[in-house]
Amino acid sequence: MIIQEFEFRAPDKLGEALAVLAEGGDDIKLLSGGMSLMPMMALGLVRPRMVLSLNRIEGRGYVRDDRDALRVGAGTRHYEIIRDPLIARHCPLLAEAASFIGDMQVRNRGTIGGSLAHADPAADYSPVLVTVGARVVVRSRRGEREIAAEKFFTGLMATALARGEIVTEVVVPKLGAARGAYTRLHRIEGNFAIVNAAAVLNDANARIALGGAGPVPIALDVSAELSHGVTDDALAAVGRRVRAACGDAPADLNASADYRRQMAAVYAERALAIAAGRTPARHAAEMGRKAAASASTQNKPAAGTVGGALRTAIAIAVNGQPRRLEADNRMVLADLLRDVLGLTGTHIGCGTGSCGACTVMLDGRTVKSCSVLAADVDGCAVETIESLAPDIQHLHPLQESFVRNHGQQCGYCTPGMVMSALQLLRDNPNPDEAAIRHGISGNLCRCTGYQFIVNAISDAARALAAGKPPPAA
Amino acid sequence: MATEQLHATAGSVAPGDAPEPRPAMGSRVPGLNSRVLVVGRGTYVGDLSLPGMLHMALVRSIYAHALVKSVDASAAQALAGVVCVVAGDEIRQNTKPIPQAYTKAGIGAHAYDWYALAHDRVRYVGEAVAAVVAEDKYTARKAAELVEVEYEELPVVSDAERGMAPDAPLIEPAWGTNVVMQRTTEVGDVAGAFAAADGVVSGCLSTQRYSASPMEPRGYAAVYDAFRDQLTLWASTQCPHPLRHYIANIIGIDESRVRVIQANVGGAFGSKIPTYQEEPLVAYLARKLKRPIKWIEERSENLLTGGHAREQKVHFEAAYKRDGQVIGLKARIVADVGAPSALAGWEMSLVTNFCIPTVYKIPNCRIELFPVATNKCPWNAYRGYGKETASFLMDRIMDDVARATGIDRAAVRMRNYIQPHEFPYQQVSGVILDSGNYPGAMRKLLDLVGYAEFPKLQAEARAEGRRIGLGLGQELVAEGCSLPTSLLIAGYDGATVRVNPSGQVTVLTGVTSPGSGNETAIAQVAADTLGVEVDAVRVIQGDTETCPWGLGNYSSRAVIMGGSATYMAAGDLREKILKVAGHMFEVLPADLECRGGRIFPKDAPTRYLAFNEVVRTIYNDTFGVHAKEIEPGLEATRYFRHPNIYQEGDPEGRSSAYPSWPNAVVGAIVEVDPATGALKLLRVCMVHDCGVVVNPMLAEGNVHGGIAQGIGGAIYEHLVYDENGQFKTATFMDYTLPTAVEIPPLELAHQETRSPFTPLGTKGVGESGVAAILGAICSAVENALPELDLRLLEMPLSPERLWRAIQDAPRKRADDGAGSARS
Ligand SMILES: Cc1cc2nc3c(=O)[nH]c(=O)nc-3n(C[C@H](O)[C@H](O)[C@H](O)COP(=O)(O)OP(=O)(O)OC[C@H]3O[C@@H](n4cnc5c(N)ncnc54)[C@H](O)[C@@H]3O)c2cc1C
Ligand code: FES
Ligand code: FES
Repeated sequence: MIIQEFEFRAPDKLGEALAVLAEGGDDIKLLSGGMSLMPMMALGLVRPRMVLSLNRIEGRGYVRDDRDALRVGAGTRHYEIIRDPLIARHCPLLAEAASFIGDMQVRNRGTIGGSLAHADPAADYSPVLVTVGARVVVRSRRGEREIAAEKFFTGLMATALARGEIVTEVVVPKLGAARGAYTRLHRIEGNFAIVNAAAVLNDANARIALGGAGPVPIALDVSAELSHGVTDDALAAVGRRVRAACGDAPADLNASADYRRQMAAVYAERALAIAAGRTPARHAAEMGRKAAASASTQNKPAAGTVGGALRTAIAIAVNGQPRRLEADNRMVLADLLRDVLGLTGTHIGCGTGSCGACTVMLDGRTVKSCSVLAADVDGCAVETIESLAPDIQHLHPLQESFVRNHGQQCGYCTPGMVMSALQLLRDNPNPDEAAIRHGISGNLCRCTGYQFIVNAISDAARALAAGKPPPAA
Repeated sequence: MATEQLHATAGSVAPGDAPEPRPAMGSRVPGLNSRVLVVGRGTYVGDLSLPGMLHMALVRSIYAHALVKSVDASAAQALAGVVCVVAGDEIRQNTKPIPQAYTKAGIGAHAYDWYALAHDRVRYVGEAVAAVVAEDKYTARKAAELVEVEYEELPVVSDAERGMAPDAPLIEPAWGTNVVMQRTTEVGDVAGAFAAADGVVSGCLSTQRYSASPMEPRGYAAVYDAFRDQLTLWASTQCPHPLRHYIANIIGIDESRVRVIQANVGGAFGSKIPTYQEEPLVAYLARKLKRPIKWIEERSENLLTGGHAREQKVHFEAAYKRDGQVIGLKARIVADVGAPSALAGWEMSLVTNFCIPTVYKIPNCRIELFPVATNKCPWNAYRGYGKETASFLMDRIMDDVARATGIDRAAVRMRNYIQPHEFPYQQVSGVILDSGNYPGAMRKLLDLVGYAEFPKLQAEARAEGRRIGLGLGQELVAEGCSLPTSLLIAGYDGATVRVNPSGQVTVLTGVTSPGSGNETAIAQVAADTLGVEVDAVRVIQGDTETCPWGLGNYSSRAVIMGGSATYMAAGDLREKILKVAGHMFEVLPADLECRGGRIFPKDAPTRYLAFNEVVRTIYNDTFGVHAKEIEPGLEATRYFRHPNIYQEGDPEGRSSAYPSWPNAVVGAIVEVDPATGALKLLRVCMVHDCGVVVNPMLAEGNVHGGIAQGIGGAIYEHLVYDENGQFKTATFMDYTLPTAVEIPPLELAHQETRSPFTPLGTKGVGESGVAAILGAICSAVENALPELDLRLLEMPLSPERLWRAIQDAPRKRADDGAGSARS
């Protein structure tokens, strides 16, 4: 729970945001997807005087073709990167990295710009951006500059961003004939990697970058080691170099420094071996299959924000009903739904974005409502579990399937689980068991062992495919 | 074994009393509450909003061990919206300590007076020091940060074995030791067995600290009506009636003026059995301020203070014969039980103690137990309740013996099992195992998991460069716990069954549901006993004002105790109804049958009366010819006392606190990545015996959940403290619960050996699944790497731990074993 009051601003022009940032002093926090900032605020680790949301600025999320590079808007959400056809064609390993991030709800909300600025040493994008030689475009009132990804990360969760600067775009060179791969080691799905590795190689050059093995991604040119091809000996030589380069590996609860160093070598070798086994066309096709042609959702323009104060006026549509409310800035969407609107079907299991009990649809995609500020959903449409069944006799087919298959016990995770399942079936009406498990990995259940939930979702998919109406869109 | 005595005690509930298999019982009836839960209309405490409601937040110790010199609340009090701040002194003056679950003196254990707030000393990070009440939850928490507590740090005990050293700092100076109690159980001729052995295996098993982590953290809300002198407490609790008694005691109010209502509970797994500091605090403050108060736990608080479990070391030696028979066992259990409290925790180590040697016949055993207090969160009840460590230990020993003798892992277990004809069987600690068919379950499992064909699969995988292994695990899960002198933990419970004038049935139980769905099983029992459809039955639980006295749910007792009491009460009504129906039919009641809402002569099922018709006769024609011979009314309350509990002690002074012994055997298939230590579970199969299964779907769901928690404990979950007693894992980013991706497909089969002691033959299912998987996973990993002499004794199997074990394991010589084979 966020206990420290703060001001909230959500300008709809970048220029205005830059002005607020320039004038506002140091303790302003920019808010993008909030998937790193919100948990930190909920735990009291970050206590800004003002939160400056970028979510109202139009056109922050895009991928554009620009000759030999792609231009990716800083506000592009992780799921959009996974589905983007240009990325699938020209830099598939970026999408590959994005698909490892957190879980569906985190990918629906988190942005590439936020991930870069947050600079977690084990973030999934960083090694990819460093190996492919991406450039980070940043803007301030003074103007715009480009920083090479390799130079952007300057220390543990520290970047080259100067005061008053906002990340606006990432320029990702097209891979062309080069082959790339991204892979990682983690304790559980949905958690940051212990180490991760990206590799890009063509006939002449080979580059790798390792994340989680030092305060910043460690980039190495291993062209010399691989000059006679990707052989076992060559990989072993790369491994030795990686171990030597990772002298600064961090130690934490997941892994000691030594283990990280050793694993960095293993994953460097694996990333190279995967990349070497790939042809660019095949990799692009693989990722392209994941890139669905669904229109990306942008936040709608502001309906009216009360500037400055500790409360914000918002206009939202909840389950189709327009509502005008005023919220304490500390209030998250889950609190707004539960405490103000009495929609208590949305539960809170952790308050820090890790359990999914609070999952709702925000503008048609699932988010963890404990990690979205109420003030930040002005102009949005929210759907909660309450929207699915008008009464106890008429459950949504998915809900009927949960009941039939005993997909719930205590029911605490259930509403969030159903919302995630709904998202999953909207994206993929015919998921196999692995896809179902992956799709609900952002929703923890302590009662069921997931088996009957998985059964319920696949049973619902079958029932829906067999002619019943598709899940309400 | 005193079989005679057993039957005498079993009394009127002989096996023959059980009804024939009938439609509802044994069928996959969907949960009665499922529809409400799946639409999000469950009502958890956090969902309650009461007029004028205030919010409580706690000031918690930041030190593991310190004197509290002063508490300064002036800055907090000055914050707008703060209503009051209370500290330990006030609580000390105005309330009593939280009652202990049972009198410790009886078993020679030290006890501790735990108040709702610490007053002069804190003994773990997170112990509550002061409570703040404010108009909204943000202000309450903000004010809690403004309360200034002055501490003087004391030396910290952060490790149990170090806490046993003579010069260790004392957590409770009055005890003169950190050892909560010491117990040694010795049976048979242990020295003789070791002398006669062909070999000995030995090691030290260690299980890590972990937590129940229900998805709903704890929550309480209280209202005090000063004009009626009535306190109502909504609680996310497993045990509303005992809680009511305790609250009345602690805050000094008549028990009859306290009403506890169990809201929907979002999972509990044992953690919501006892009374914590927060329930009495909320109750006390609601009465003091005469305004409703709510407290909802944050996840970080739940991980920090919601009760921990399982951090134990077991040093063991087992003596075996060349043919695989284990003839002697020595075990020394050292449990790191955290700070003394009133939670139901450290007793779990006692249960580990007396479950050994589980399903095996090992006549010569010496088991020493040392539960040691440390400056960490107190242990609290958690699914498995110590049984998992006993089962895990025996699994590791069986695998060691298999390795040492070269005998197959399943065969070694078969050689040592208690045999099906030997039940009831008195185990070395004195407990009496009710029923089981361990060899039968093992044979089923070997089929289910494809044990015989596995080496072929393994070879094929190996040819593709994949390392897979199959492991076995076995669990014996003591259920229905009953502790001497305990109000909270006892082996009985009650139910009221009421047939309403229109023929629908209301069942009110003393047992409750933590969200596991036992109300459905209870409805099935009532439906079949009365011969009505399940739809006609409503089950009401968890309200002390309406439900009969009962102890709630823990130790899988809901169906064992509550189901049996329901069966008895419904049976009384059935008798009355048949008497009247007999009169109406002019046949003997014994010649009537009731089923599906109809009552009919057994030999003429088409000549039937509607159940409702007979009920109507009883209510509307009380003085009429058919009903005048029975006592009016159709309501009965009955209590079931489990007959397989012995408090008195046998000639050797051994008692038996657990009456019910479900068991299971697991086969797990894993894939190991030797280069990283990463593990992937591919399949988990379990054959499970909980006696008669009332609802297979609900039982399976429960077991699935148990297995998933077991997997969490085996690989992913670990509560970590540093050497200063500082807590390192206060979020789900650090305490990693497995997701649907980590849990593999789960395959179950039932094996049914009835309990001879319960009228329906049920044995309980709530804790099954968590234990056997531990041994199975270790066994599978070792099996996947046959070229290594890998012995996994330290949990959890995080990638790094496993990777190191693989690095350190010696390469096997063909004839090498874990044991020191003697010639
Ligand atoms: C449960 C969970 C699991 C996760 N797992 C992973 C994982 O496996 N791998 C991974 O890489 N990430 C993971 N994340 C983090 C996720 O990727 C975040 O989305 C990302 O780190 C931050 O992006 P955001 O848009 O949410 O940024 P925010 O949280 O909004 O912001 C993060 C930081 O960047 C600053 N900031 C945001 N935008 C800008 C900008 N345009 N210019 C300058 N500064 C800016 C903010 O002020 C803040 O300090 C996880 C998060 C959660 C909640
Ligand atoms: S993710 Fe929002 S409450 Fe857990
Ligand atoms: S049903 Fe209880 S947490 Fe999922």
